[in-house]
Amino acid sequence: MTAEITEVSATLAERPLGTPPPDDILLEVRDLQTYFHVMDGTVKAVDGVSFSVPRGGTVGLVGESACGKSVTALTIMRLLDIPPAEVVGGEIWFDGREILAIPEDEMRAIRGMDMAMIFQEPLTSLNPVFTVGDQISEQVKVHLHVSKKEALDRSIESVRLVGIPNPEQRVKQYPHEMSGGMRQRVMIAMALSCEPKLLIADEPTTALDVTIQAQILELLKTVQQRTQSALMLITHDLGVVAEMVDQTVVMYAGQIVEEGTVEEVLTRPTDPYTMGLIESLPSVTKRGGRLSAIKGVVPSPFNLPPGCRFAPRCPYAWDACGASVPDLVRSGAPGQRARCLLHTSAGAARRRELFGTIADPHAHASVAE
Amino acid sequence: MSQEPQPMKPLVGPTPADLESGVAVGANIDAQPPETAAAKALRREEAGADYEVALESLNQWQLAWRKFKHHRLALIGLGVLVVLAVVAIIGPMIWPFEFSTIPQPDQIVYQGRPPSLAHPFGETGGLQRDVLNLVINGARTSLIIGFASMAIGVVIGTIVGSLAGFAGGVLDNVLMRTVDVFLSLPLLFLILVASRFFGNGNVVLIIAIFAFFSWMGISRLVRSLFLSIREREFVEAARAVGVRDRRIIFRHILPNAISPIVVSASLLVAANIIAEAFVSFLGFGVNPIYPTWGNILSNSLTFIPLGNWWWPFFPGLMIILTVLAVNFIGDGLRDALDPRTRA
Amino acid sequence: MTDDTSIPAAPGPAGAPAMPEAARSPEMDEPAATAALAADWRDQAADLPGAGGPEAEIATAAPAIDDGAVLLRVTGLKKHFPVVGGLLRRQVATVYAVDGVDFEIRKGDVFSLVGESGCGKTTLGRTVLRLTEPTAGEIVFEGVDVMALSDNQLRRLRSKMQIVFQDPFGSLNPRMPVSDIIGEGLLAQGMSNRKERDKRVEDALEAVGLRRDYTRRYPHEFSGGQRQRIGVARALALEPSFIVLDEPVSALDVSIQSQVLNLLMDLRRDFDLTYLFISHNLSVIQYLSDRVGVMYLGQLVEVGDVETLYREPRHPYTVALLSAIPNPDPRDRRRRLVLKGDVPSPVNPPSGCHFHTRCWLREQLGNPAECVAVEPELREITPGHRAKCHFAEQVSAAKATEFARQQPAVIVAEALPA
Repeated sequence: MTAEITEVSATLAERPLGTPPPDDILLEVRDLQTYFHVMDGTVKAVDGVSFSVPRGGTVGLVGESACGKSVTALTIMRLLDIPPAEVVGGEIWFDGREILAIPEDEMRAIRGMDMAMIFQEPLTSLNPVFTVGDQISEQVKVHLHVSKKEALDRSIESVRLVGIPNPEQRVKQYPHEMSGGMRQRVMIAMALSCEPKLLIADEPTTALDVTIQAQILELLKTVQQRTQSALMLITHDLGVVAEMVDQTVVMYAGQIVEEGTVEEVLTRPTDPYTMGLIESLPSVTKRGGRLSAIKGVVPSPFNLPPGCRFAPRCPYAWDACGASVPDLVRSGAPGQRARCLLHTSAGAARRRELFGTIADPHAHASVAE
Repeated sequence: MSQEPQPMKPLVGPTPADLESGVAVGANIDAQPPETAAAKALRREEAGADYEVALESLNQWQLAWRKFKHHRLALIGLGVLVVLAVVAIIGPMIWPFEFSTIPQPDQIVYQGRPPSLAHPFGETGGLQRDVLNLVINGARTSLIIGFASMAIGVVIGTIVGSLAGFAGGVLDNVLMRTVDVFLSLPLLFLILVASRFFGNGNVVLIIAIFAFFSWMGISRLVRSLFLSIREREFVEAARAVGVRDRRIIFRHILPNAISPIVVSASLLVAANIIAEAFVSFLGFGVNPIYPTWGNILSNSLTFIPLGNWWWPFFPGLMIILTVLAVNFIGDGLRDALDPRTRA
Repeated sequence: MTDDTSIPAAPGPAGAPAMPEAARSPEMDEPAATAALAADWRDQAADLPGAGGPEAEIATAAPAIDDGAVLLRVTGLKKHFPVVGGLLRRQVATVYAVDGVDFEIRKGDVFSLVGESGCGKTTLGRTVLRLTEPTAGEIVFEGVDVMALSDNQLRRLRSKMQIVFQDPFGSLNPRMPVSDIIGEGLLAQGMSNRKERDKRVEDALEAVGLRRDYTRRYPHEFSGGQRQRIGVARALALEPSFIVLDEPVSALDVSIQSQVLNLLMDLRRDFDLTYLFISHNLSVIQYLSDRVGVMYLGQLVEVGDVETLYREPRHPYTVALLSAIPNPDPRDRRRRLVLKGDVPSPVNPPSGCHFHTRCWLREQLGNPAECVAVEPELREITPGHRAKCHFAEQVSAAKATEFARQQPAVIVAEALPA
């Protein structure tokens, strides 16, 4: 018992519910559980997720489809439709306040002002019947209570800041008159118009071409550094997360399976899912050879496996894995944690058994090549 | 005792399963012997082929029924319609309309009798008929006209729409201009005139006339469905394997167009039932010696000032109920047949 | 023979050059495990009929392909879409989706087409099969002039040239069971015997890793990766020799992508296939192609074998594409070369070199006049490597790095002045 307790990291400590986090932490999500009630049953979209974003810091939420990363962001912004969704448990602390319990009008004051979100598909996230300038100005007017002229000036400034030339003309255009990259810049301008403390970007470049993606990522990095806002980036692309964030959290089937600095997680992963994900990336060094693939499919949310949710697909699984869901335990560098029994004392024997057969581990690198 | 967790070695190189199957990660694919049983098994594992399909395996129609069942109003509508249909079919057999019976003079109350135990819907004035009998017999005619004209209209509309949507070009243009012409005609007037002069009170002809004037909406709908489904990738895929046009129309496009057509058809039934009531009410419809809900209403007109509320009330109620039921079913169908939602 | 060569460092058809040292797979530094594997394969290979010869030969032999034979040759291929408008519905503009493309694919190769949206690669894939009728050009497949074929002959040709689509959800008819989806191609090709068709369908399902008894199921019962496998089975059932793969893994999760890529490579080996692989994902292309063609605004701007193209690209656009790939290694903090502006519309391609409005090399060279005035030719720079740039010889890593370093922090969303 004692062994397990001391294995819990002190860096992302589990603070008791009800107490606010220290002042340098802007956003703290504690044991969040968001479920969806649908005809076929209950989907545990987010099932016990905890992480924090320091002021001015950058955190990436990485995972594939249906892992719960987007639902986490929507829960933080409180943009979910409450039936069928239900926040079953947990707390979200933002800027010293717990925001899951506050009334909607207070939340509206926060949304757009202190916390802003950039969505994946700018064409559907921008209103097609309003000009770009109108949409940015609307946000500014609601939150900053300035005159129409001043709001327009601020809009033009925001548009200029994101690198769109001729902003005075551009603000009079409609979204469909712009290209995808331009629209995404407009979304960023809109999100930044009130100088939020936290920027949530949900797959901001997935729908864009790779050269445009490079533009947008550079823009986002620059802008985030200049405005010192915190960034929470949601993506499935490991390359994007490597470039943009300092801390990262890997999600699978509604739970966090690994967390740590981005360097630790991507170069020395400790959870079998993360390892599998990194390993399966095709690259020039694997030419001609079989790719390492994670076998099987993501479990159906209605039929989650008992115990570790990744166990049916895990090449290292053994009987104990099916018994109960493992906790996040310290797995490597300080601050790095993984949800895998192999890092507990219970898994020591299995670890010896598995990795005793492979020679010098430092001959293998994960993403370095 | 607490220990420093050992850093876990990254997953590179063959796992125990790989070593067993002889198909290893990183190993040269071209140099491997093809299709050993172990290789096949590994491929199946990768595909997750053996995992239990967690949810019930339901085909499209079972899924649709399940979604439909969740629509309380639609279920009620379906129930009502089923009852009506049974009554309309069996009723006249059990209790036929005897238009040649004339009541005894001492039975006649001029303005009819209100509902009572013997006559639950009351009796009419004039010929002293049982209103319930009239309504039951009228149901058959009204429902047949409503559904049959819908069926024929849908068939015509689908044929026209498919031709226009699939062929495109000149044929599309010609057909759609024809539809435009039809839609610009004063339909009600033409129905009335046609019903009187060509219909001559004959039910079959009335059905034909209604169908003739109600196919246009369906044809536009079907045309636009064809245009959009034709561009979908699975149609292109079928072409890519060499499937001919005819099969594409009947096995690919039409089955995927059925949902909106069905919904539209249900609304058409409602419209036609009301149209029939209206036309019969005006005396232009079915031969007035046979009851239909519409002409029951028209016969009752002069007796309403006499306080005879039950004579027009019950057939009117039936019309409302039927149309409501059909509309609710249409709503339920629209949700049930939406391919995007499972629940 | 040392253990190192029992798993050859040079994959692909025999005779391909060995990979440079730095790029060799880590497995090769592991004598113990690889020797065990090699031993397994030797044992298994010995059981194969017709096997024999020294172990090195079995291990290094590629499948018997005549890699000199050209399977598909495309010359001057064009596909222009008219834009109609106005009251009289006349043609007011043209979309130059594919504007003069030449390339050839050798039997057994994987030829990849890479490019961003609007470059025409998807249209090109469809045009090569005549799924979309080309506006002009010549397509020669296995010696047959595809453009000259009648409808019936073309239909028969479909059994040899197939396609797998990108969208696993849209490319399968939701109202049709799997048996029909896979089997109707066989039916269209004349296989009227039901039993025979069913067997072929089941064989195809098994070949892609799904169960034979899945034939009665409907597409919505499968996951994305499994549906994509059904799409592959559909193409495979006809026993083609050439398959166009239109972004086959782009719509799938990363962990599923590698499964399907493994499948595609296995099938290529087992069924002697040749692929035209269309993608925007440069890492995937780098992993599985033999030759690569880079497309921009309907034209091929660079063609070559994959190693040379990645090591020494000769077109500024290729350099920018390669630089733009986000690298999953967080320790790589190099400054990327970011292009200015957006991709121009294929309705109105820029004059001269289509790329000149975003070209970093042109900016670095001080805006030479040829770039705007004269369209460059797709000319051979080194044997087997062609590039469509007036200054292809001046493209180098040094110049690119220099340019990247000098870029401003916020890249303006505007094209370069003419």
